[in-house]
Amino acid sequence: MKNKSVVPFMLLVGGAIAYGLSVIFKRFPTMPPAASAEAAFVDSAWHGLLVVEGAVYAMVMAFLLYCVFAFRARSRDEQGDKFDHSRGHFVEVAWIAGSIALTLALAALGTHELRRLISNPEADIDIEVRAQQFSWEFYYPRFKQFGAKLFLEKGKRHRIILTSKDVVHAFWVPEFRIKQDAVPGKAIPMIITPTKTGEFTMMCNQLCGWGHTDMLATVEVLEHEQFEQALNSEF
Amino acid sequence: MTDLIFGLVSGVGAFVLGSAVLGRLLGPQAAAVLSYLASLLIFLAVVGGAKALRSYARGAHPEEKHGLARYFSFDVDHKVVGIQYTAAALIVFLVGGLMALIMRLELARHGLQFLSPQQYNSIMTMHGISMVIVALIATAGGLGNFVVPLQLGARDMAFPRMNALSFWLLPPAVLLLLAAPLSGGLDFGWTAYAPLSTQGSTVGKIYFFLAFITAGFSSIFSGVNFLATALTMRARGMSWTRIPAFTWSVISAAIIQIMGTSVVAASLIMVIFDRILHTSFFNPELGGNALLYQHLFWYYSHPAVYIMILPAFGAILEIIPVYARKPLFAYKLVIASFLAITALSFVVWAHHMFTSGMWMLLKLPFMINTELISIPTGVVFLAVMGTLWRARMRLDSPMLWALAMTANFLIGGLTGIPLADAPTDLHLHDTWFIVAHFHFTIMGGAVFGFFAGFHHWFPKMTGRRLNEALAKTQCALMFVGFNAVFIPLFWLGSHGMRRHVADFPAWMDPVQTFASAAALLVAASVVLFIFNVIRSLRTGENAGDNPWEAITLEWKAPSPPPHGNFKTPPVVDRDPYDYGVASKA
Amino acid sequence: MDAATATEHGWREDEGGRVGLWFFILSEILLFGAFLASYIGTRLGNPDCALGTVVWPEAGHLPGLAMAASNTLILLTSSYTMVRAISRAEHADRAGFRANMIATIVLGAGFLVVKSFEYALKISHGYYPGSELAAAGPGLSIFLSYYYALTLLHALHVIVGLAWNGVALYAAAEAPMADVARRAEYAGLYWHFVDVIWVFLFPLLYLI
Ligand code: HEA
Ligand code: HEA
Ligand code: CUA
Ligand SMILES: [Cu+2]
Repeated sequence: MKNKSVVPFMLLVGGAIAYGLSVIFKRFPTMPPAASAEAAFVDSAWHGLLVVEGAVYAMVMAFLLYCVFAFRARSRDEQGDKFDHSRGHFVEVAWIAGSIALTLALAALGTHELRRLISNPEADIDIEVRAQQFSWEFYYPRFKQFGAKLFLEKGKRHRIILTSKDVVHAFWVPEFRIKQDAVPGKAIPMIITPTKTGEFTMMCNQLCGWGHTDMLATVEVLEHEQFEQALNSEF
Repeated sequence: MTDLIFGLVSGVGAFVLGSAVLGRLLGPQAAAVLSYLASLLIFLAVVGGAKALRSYARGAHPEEKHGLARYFSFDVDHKVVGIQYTAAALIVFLVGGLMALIMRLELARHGLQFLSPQQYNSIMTMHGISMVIVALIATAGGLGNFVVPLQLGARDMAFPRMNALSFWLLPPAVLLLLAAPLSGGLDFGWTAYAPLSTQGSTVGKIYFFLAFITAGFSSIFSGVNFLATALTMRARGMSWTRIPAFTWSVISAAIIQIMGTSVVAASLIMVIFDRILHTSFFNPELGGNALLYQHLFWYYSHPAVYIMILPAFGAILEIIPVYARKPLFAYKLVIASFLAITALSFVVWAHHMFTSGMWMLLKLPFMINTELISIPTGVVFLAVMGTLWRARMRLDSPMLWALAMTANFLIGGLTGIPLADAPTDLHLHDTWFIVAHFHFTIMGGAVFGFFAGFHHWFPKMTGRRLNEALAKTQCALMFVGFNAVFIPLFWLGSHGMRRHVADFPAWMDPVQTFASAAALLVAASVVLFIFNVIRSLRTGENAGDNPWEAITLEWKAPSPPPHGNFKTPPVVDRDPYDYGVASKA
Repeated sequence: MDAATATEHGWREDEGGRVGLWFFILSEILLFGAFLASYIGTRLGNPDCALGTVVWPEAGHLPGLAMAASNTLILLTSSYTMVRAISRAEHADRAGFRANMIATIVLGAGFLVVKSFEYALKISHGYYPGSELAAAGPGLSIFLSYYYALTLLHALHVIVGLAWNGVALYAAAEAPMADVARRAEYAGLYWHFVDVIWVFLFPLLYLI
């Protein structure tokens, strides 16, 4: 705390920790494997947060631990050093400036990814997903057809229009990183662009009553041909 | 004591009778509301409200009581009220904790063990709401009522009778809450979102909302009381910049209590009307709006989390200088941050609604406002670090609790940012990542902070000392156990464990089982705590007036302080944290 | 309100009561504020009951309006008698205080009586949530929801105010006049607040 050279030092250490974390999180994923184009935006915001906050956490904890070991009283009559601010309030100013900078940086990153998430409302396929206690209905206007599962076509932009007959439910597929409540009296659109074929579980993610636990459904992402025939062959 | 028994008997009697008789005419729900109002008034009147009102009308002073019995009576002494609050908070904590244990047992592995989803939801709801009440009343209500007037050098609170009233509103609320799951169950979680909460016609849900409103009024009254006390009852020389941090934090919390609580009351009243008068506030078919509830609810319930945490911040910032033997670092900045948090807390509520389908453009301001709160909150950590630097730390139990709280809340706070961040919240909303986040803030922050304050002021409250060895073991046990329970839950949450479910995929078993086992450690630490308290109350060694060599006013009074607190009105002539010796360097 | 130690800021102990009461009223304002904000928001967002159009169906509207208007007068008068009561108390005039306070209480009770007749009238026309009429029209249903919620809530506050005034009146029985004056002042502050709320409700619920 004595001289101002702590600031560049802190920046260096913080940067190093952040970099180390970013490497680690590449190796050991902190989320299920992504399966939608939208997931990319969420994940980049997520990783930005993880590394910055990891660095903040590491440094604050290191400081606290150091103090606990370094500044013990050996006898009860020892007294601490009598100061209630740093020289010229340098530390206070630096800390506040730092946290403002970090906060704004994180907010900027979030804003950027949010914009990318909601900027483009165009879609290739419309699907009406209707929630009710305690089940889901998938209606395909283009095929005038209900789906037994939620069939999606790989690589296409789907506009899923969520409605609810009774209470608030929510649509969530962890691999898609997308979540949206289905609110009675509203029809809420949501864009999903799956990038991997295969089956995923979609779950109701808003407490909607006794049956909430079991309000699950399957999402199946198919290539173009299978998608078409799956919906034409229905019933 | 007799008043209390009569009060309970007549109150409960009136309630049962009223529900039975009126139920015939108006249907069970409306009957429940009316007979509850009646029985609440009867209970309050019998337990001592009537006497207090008469003495008020007569312009007389409230009567002074003595002996153990006053702790079970409508006593107006702020120290009694404070201890009543603390005891009540601990009891509710045990109940809520018991619910938590039941939940953890059910969640020990996938599939349903011994609870049906219904029972799980009810227990989870009870756990949530009772623990929220604990977090709201333990530090601000319990320690606050006891300590704040002492720290201000006042004889008592500004409105002693109203103070007793705010406490005695709580037992009816808690009793009603306990009756709720037995009367049709609670399927909606502590947030009780409409229209789920307006569905059906079981009286249990009505009980829940009545209890919530009652607790709300208690909270408003004590908020008013604290503010009036701080404004008008300060000792000579107690200028704004000499008020200790803890009292400042309670003042900030009080501001939130009076500015927010009545708004949530509005939404709860709407639900009750929707249920019994067939109004359509939350029913879209009849012109209502389902999101209105969430907006009104979170307008209060977000600031409410700062009602929980601010006093905890105050407590640890009060404690750390005493045991670090140093002045509090950046005192004025800390006070400013408390007030900044108070102000900001009212403009962030929709961060609970990022996925609710509210107007897209609202996401941005709410995301940024929320993240701004990390700046004043960061100042609290700055103060802790600055105070520990070049300290001469005494690691007595209160200090350990304070340090543990700091470590926990750092995690809790930092994990709040990804939730505040609209894109990542799309993934994290209503997952166990949030469960972990708020246990690290509420339990790791507010409850650990309460324990810190409890160990710090216990000698003042009772005149006796807790056993240090036991206290330290409990702290270590709870710290380890708590972190072991909740750190894995972050991972579970981000990998797809959603909230409010009794069952989950099998691959989560190892983590869940581990968390359940760790919860037993926490339980053990709680048992240890109860043992320690009972033991010291019976045979604890005499504490003396100032066991920690602290200099704030409460330590100038005898322990436990007599009626009127100070023999002579104290005069304040120094700053609250005037510790340490100037270094030669 | 017990003896406070004087502070350098020169507060007198009785000020504690005034300060506290203002804080309490602040939170009451927020309670009605929440309802009114939701009410305005609903009517702005909802064409079926858009602002500017009186939602009340013709039948029985004018009698109801008349009752509400007279109720407004009653409350304003009661505020006046309340002011007199307080000043009488401050001049240590027990009898005068009693007379005016009783007048205030009677007027307040009168308000409740008129209000209940108005409710009866509206219900007789089927203007209440859950009636077929309301079930037919979403606009009417939500409007009636707010109408009844706000007026019932206000009526509840009138009742509390009456009780409070009753305490002040009871105080006049034995307490020294200085204390009576203070209690009257607090009761009065709250009573004026209740009246002011009504002055807001009347145009919002009946005229626009
Ligand atoms: C102060 C706040 C607080 C505290 C301290 C706790 C403490 C704990 N909480 Fe809880 N919790 C909440 C507030 C809190 N919680 C809230 C608000 C929710 C959300 C609810 C909702 O979504 O609606 C929640 C939800 C919640 C969930 C998620 C439920 C779900 O979404 O499906 C879980 C799951 O593990 C959990 C676990 C625990 C555990 C294991 C503890 C442990 O730390 C508990 C430790 C305490 C004990 C173990 C007590 C031991 C007592 C005894 C041993 C003696 C008992 C004797 C008698 C009663 C006489 N809590
Ligand atoms: C005591 C209680 C408490 C506290 C203090 C907090 C503090 C915070 N909370 Fe938390 N929260 C809850 C209790 C609490 N929360 C509860 C109970 C819920 C769940 C409700 C429910 O749905 O049941 C919840 C849910 C919740 C959500 C909703 C998630 C969702 O439902 O989708 C969000 C979103 O923004 C959030 C954010 C935050 C933030 C940003 C803070 C901030 O105040 C944290 C600020 C602190 C720090 C950031 C750390 C210290 C700062 C520094 C070291 C400075 C440097 C750091 C940076 C620059 C980043 N919380
Ligand atoms: Cu539907 Cu939860
Ligand atoms: Cu919040």
